[in-house]
Amino acid sequence: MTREVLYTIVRAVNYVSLFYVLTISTIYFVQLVSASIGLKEYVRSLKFTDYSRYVYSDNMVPISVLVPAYNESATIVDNTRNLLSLDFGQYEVIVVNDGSKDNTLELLKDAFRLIPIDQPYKRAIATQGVRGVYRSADFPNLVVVDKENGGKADALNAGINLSMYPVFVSIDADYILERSSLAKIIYAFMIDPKCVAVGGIIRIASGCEIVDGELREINLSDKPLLMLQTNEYLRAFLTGRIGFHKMGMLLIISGAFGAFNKQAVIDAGGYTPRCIGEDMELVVKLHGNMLRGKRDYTIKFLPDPVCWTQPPDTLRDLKKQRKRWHIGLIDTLLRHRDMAFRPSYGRIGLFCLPYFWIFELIGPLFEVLGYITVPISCILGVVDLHFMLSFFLVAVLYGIILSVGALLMEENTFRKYPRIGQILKLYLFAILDNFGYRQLNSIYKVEATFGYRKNKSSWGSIQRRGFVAEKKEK
Amino acid sequence: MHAWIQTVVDVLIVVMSSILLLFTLGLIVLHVITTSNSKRVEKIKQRILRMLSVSQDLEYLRGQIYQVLDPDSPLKSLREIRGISSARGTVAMTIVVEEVSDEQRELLRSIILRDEWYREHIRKTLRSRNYDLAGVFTKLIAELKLPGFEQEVLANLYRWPKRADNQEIGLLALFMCGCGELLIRLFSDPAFHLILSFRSLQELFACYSGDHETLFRELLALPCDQYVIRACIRGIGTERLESLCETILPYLQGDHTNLLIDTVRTLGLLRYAPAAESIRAHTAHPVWSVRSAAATALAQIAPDDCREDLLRCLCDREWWVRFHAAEALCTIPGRETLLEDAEALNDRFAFEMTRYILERNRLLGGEVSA
Repeated sequence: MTREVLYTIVRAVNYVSLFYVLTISTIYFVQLVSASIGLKEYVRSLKFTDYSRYVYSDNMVPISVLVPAYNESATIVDNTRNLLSLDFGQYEVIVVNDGSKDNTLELLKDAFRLIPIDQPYKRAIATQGVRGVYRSADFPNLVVVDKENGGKADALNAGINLSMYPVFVSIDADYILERSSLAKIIYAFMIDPKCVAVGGIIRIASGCEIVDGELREINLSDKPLLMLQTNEYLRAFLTGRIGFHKMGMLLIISGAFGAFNKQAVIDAGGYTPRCIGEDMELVVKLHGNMLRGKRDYTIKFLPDPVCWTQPPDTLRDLKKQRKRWHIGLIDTLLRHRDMAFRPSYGRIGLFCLPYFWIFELIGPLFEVLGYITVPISCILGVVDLHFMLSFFLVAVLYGIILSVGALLMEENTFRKYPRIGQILKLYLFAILDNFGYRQLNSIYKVEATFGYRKNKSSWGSIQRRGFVAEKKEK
Repeated sequence: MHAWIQTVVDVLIVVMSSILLLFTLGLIVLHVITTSNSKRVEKIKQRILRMLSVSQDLEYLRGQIYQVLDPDSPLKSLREIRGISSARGTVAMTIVVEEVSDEQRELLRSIILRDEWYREHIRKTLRSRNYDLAGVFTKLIAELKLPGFEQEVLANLYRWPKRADNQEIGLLALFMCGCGELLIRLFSDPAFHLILSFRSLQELFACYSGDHETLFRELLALPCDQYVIRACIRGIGTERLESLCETILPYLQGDHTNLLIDTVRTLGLLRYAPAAESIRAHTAHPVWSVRSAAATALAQIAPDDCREDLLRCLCDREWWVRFHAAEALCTIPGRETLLEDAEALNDRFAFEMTRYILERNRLLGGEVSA
């Protein structure tokens, strides 16, 4: 009798895992279709969109570029130099040194001839104490803020307080913007007065030639781990983000590259201090604030403004990053649990947040459970070999379809990787991605879920290699 | 139960495999047709490539358009180009327009204006349901300032009222072509709703190729959208149309905050003395953004007679008013004693702001070294 019950339970677990894999495959496929429509529409609109007309126009929205930095000595000078050379009329760059323990501030002082200045500022959002404000003797639009450590969210809030302009762009210190990216992303605010936030695409810079903070040549890395991440980013942004954007349910604007209406953010209370997934949390907060106030608004993702990044190049750093991302997701969902399943929050409350709860948060548990129980069940004779193979085949096939689909969209639109060798390499890693890498990420997510309380920390420390190092490698 | 699930899964696997195969083939074909440039098989492939590949076809059409611009070429008109009336032909045309010099652009404009067949093609496309192509042609009309398509562009503004990109490009065409009368009719029509941001509208007004003064004067006399009125008021400032200052003077007494701010700024920018007392009064306005704009404008209009008002603004409870007051104080006589004067106010915030603005100005002026 007990054996019979156990048998039924194990079998049910198998079916649930399979059901999960099938459901998520279907959802991702719908996203892929939705993304291809969204991307097609966007690319077609580019034919008669003329953002360049605004670049140096007095009528372009002036912006503040916020760069939170904590122990970023490897990349901060290159990155700041890159930001000071962008194609944009009126903008300021505000680097916020969040109590770095390394020589981030000293490097900035030397590179940009910083001079301390007693700058009074409006404390629209409460932050940790500001130790000093510096302006550059060489670059009138560079401001450096030195403050007590308070985490990335706190650093961004300090940047918002010191910013002069109505729209701010947040960009991480280890990222490089394409020259036209700012103009492209800010154009969204020009064309749509209801727009409160816009996200751009993040691409992997490993393998690219970067000189003095400027991207010279796009290429792919030779390291498998970096290639896997290149594919993963393509898939996540070209299918996931565009898909959600098209359905009006964009919940994530990467903290690495996003533009926000400053007043809307201040009204929502700014970034939540000590919140790890502060980027997603802010977007959910904006949705909540706007929907509660019954205000007409849009939050967008644009696949064209590009920001290049150096991803973790060791498994150890990758694990840290992914755990941090997942803890950020859990944190955000828990903080805004009252919004889920509530019709007053529209499609965000009824579809988007439940999706994140079920498939992004709990989903990895089912996935990992499936990877463990299905083979064991097969060995014990609960399910046959055909079932087991089917389970893995479905899981692998949907992953490959998504990755190849994203590659197809990339090839049909932006073609950043034009050589046949690059396409083949990406294709190969689109397949390899499903044999270990994806499963590994799911395991990291499960680990993060179980260690959520213990692992809550502020910035984490991932080894930065710096863009100069990349150049020398070549 | 198990068999049934297994069947579903098997079918799904077949479907997914087929999709994957299709995607893979699509990727290969797409890549081959977009990158193929082997000269050996160029001639054989050209037709096929042009049929299949957007970039190849665009490249071919682009070359043909350049030939029309070349006086030595046998191609004399656009209608002689095979495929010019296609969607790709239209896109190729916009690419060429963006690339060519002003002289060539003028030549292309005259070629289009001479070619009744091509003009009719533009007209037909603008009237068609093809939103994208209509958009591309509207952009072309704007860039080449092509006359004769105003009615079609206007009709499209009403046809797709909720598409911001359509509204922007349509209005741009009308502004670039200097269609003042149409714009006045459009903006005064209650059935037409502006969905663009104020800044976009302002940019469009800046592109107007007709007489700004007439346009502003007529629009200000009509009941228009607040954004339009604001854009006119701002435009008066940027175009430096002193003759219209009196027209906008009544807006200083209005209760619409943004209109009031723009009027204050414009009158300040144009140093319109008759507005000085009203603007002085606005330095005590209940809305801080008005006080802030008034402080800047007052320093421009009455630099010798505003110090006391600005010092009062320097003690304002709002950060931005103090900021603009300090900036304004630096532009009027008495800068040398400004810090002492600010200290004498016994207001820490006023003093800190003054010190900051003075330091910043010295830094920006290159007077401070690291």
